[in-house]
Amino acid sequence: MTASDVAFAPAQPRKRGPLGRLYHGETKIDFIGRTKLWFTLSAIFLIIGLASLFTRGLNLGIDFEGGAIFQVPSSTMSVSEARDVVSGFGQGGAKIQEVTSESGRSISVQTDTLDPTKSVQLRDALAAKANIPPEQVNRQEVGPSWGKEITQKARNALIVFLLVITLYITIRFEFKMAVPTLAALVHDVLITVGVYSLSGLEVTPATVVALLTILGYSIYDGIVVFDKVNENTRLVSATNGVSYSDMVNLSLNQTLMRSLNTSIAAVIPIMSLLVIGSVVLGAKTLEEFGLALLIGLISGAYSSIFIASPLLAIMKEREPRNRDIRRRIETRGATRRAEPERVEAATTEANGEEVREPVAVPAAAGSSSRVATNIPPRPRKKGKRR
Amino acid sequence: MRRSGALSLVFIVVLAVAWLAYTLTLGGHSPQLGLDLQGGTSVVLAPKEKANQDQLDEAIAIIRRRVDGLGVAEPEITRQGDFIVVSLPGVKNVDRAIEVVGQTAKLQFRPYCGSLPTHQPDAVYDEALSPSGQFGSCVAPSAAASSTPGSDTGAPPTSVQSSVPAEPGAPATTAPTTSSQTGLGIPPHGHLSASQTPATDTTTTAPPAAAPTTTAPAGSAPPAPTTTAPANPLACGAAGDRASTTPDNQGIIATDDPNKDGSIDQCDVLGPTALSGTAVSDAQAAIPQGSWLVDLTLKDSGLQGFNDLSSRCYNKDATCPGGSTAIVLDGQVQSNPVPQTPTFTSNQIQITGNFTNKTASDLALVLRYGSLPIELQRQRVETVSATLGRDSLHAGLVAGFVGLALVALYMILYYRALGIVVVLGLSVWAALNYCIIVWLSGNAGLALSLAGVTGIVVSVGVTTDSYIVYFERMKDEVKTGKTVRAAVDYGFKRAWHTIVAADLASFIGAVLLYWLTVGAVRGFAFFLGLSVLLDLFTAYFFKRPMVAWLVRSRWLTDARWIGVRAGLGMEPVARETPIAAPAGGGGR
Repeated sequence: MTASDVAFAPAQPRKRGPLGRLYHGETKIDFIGRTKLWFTLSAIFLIIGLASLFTRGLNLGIDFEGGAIFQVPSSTMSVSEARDVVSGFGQGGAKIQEVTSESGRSISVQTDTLDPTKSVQLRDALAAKANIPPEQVNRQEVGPSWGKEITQKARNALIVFLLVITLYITIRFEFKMAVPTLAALVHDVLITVGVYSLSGLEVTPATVVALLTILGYSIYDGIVVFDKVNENTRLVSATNGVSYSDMVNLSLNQTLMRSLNTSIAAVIPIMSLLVIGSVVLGAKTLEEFGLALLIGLISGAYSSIFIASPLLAIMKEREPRNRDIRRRIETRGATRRAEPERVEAATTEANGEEVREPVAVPAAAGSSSRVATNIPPRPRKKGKRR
Repeated sequence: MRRSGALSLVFIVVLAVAWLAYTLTLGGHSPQLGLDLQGGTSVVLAPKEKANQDQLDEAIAIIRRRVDGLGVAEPEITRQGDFIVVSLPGVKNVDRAIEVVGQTAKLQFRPYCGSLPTHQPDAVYDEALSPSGQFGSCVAPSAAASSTPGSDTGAPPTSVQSSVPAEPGAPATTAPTTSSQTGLGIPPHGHLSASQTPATDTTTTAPPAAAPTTTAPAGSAPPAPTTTAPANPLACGAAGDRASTTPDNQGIIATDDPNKDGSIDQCDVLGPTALSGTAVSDAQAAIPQGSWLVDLTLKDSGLQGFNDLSSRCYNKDATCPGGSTAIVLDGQVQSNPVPQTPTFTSNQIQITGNFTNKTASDLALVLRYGSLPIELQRQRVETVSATLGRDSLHAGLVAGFVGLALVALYMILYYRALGIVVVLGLSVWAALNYCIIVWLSGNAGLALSLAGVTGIVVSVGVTTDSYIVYFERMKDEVKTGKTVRAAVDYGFKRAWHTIVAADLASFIGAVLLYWLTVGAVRGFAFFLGLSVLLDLFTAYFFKRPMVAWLVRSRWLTDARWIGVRAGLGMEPVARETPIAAPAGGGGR
């Protein structure tokens, strides 16, 4: 069947549209060739984000800064009434907002750190003004050292996390795959932090949770692509006319639909959390989780394709073997362009053996059958390469 | 292979259905909710200075006892790193609870005056503490520092004996009990002896007050051992409730060792603090001669105060008519050993008695804790009203279900019949997840928080992805010309490798987060980790067998719009031989 496949492809080009090709994993997008473009794009975003981070900083919630929040459910109390009460406690600078949720309207008052007695008094005063029993007031009070503690803990967790993941990827794949994964991680976190800084959205512990989730996703995405790369590694050879970069590109195209589907499947629940949970039903905490997740998820999907993989290609192309292969392919480039079919046939033939032996080996290098069909487009793509 | 596949399919479906049915009918119905979903108060405490594990655990035991005393339903007190997180759902007096929970627990050595029955009117206890009362001279405020030797040595011991229940340790003879709620072992009342003189110890083999006899306390009402009241400080009235906060130079009414069921038999009247727990240098449980004891080492500076107390008690003078010293932690008597000698020359002291390994270790722990009590600082207080909690839960649930439904819809549109596998798989996954959560919340005190709900919602994405990875692999396989049936197995082998690699990364992340962080992040990590493990489980035992079973149906495989082939992007079957048809090869 391989033979017929090879014979057909050039003679009767497939009439699939771009979506069809995407669906069948036959896209020929040159991700690696435009590495500079992606890196520049990311660099611009990162610079804007970092600039904002250093100039505007982050809008840290009371969990990080210390302070107290009182949420007083009341349909009647106005913001100015609440301010009057709060001013009586020397908290003229308190942030006072009207919040609407599923169960009605409430007034949220955020003050600096209060000592325990004052905090109770203020709560009682607000409750009295709103004409409700004090127990109905939601109170959150955070000491000044808590933020430091949890920030430190989160940072430690992050460092250990990165080390362990590096170790894991090094053992499971190789060190050179760990580096791009980490780079993509840092990229995603910085982008998310940048968006938070630019938008002035409040950073809460929920945001930190979301950020850590993003790390998980980012790694997850990267591993799926790298698993494919690992599997395709044996395709890289001068005879096949496939350089390491070409192979990474091929792997990316093959997993593109998976990456998209996964991102869609992950974004749907989060959008639901954001739109239904937070906007429709007014649960603010869900919004805190959802927003950071959404930004990070999109960034994660982007970075696994446009940052991690090109970086891997760049690093691997420096290895003597891969450099050599690349040089040989380039010197033969002209010939190949002249008669692509020949190379195509050679490529398929080289893989012919494996096609007949539909590998059960789950391991890394165990390339397979699928390669055979996916190879044919390759030389054509190379030919069209800009 | 096929057979084992069918078996595991049946197994997992039966497991999910049966367990879900059990959970919904008998097994607890729904998980315990975190405070952010249920409403309530949570307090995070942290020691001011670095504390070790033992100290923190002891501090938690003390807090638990206090919280139990407040009558809070289902309190949750956990240690997260160096933090102690106290969750109090539905507590009535929030302000009082917050205050009580954060107080520093002190260990004290006090003279034992005598006992009173439980559940008396406050007046009875107040009277006992008044200067003119039964224990007036014993509980009289100590004017000077505790190091001054007892001045009232003139009081004849006989007269004291007549007015006081002779046997302080009587009710405790029941057993070296352990309070089940606190985990704090309450050792039996023992003796104090100088540890380096075992020879002289034998000469005092029959310590008069020590023999844990069953003598009823004379001259007072029976201590009502049948009471079913919990170890509530209020068993000893308001005075008992105040015991832990009363200044050191005043007498107190403390609760006696609780029994196994948490009830207490008597209230102990104690004199002013003679020696504070900080005088303890070290304490260890030991078993030198076949019976457990506690080796207590005092700081040199503490010896004088200790001798002062023991001589007063040894002589049973008016300031220690009970004849024993009470070791009090946080207003609760831990042990009241009888000194075997009026003065100890060395700071090495042995507490002997009817100890078991556990009770001796527990007492040693209490003493060590007392030597360096942890001062807890309030880090974070959050009170969520029940309405806000309900809103969040409702919003989270609605959002979760809508999200799940949309994902299912997308999967069916995209993968057609294979999408059904995703829907069923997600259902099995969700059912098992729910059962495990309910089970854990019943048995391990796990509470589902908003962050946890988010973790689960997020893991829907991860779980769905493992199906996507598999189906995309199958797509790859059929493209090389394999039949759908062949692709089921080959695709799975490849996909399994990827799924394990990726899930393992997520799981490592979850474990690390759980281990290294506090609060919301922790809850999130737990549920994420749980869901990821379940994903691996269902992927292996459900996903492949289910797909294999599905493609046995020719109709489901070949149907033009909904079939598996359509879902895998294969050409529709033209003729009658679908299996043999060349796959993915020709043009459209």
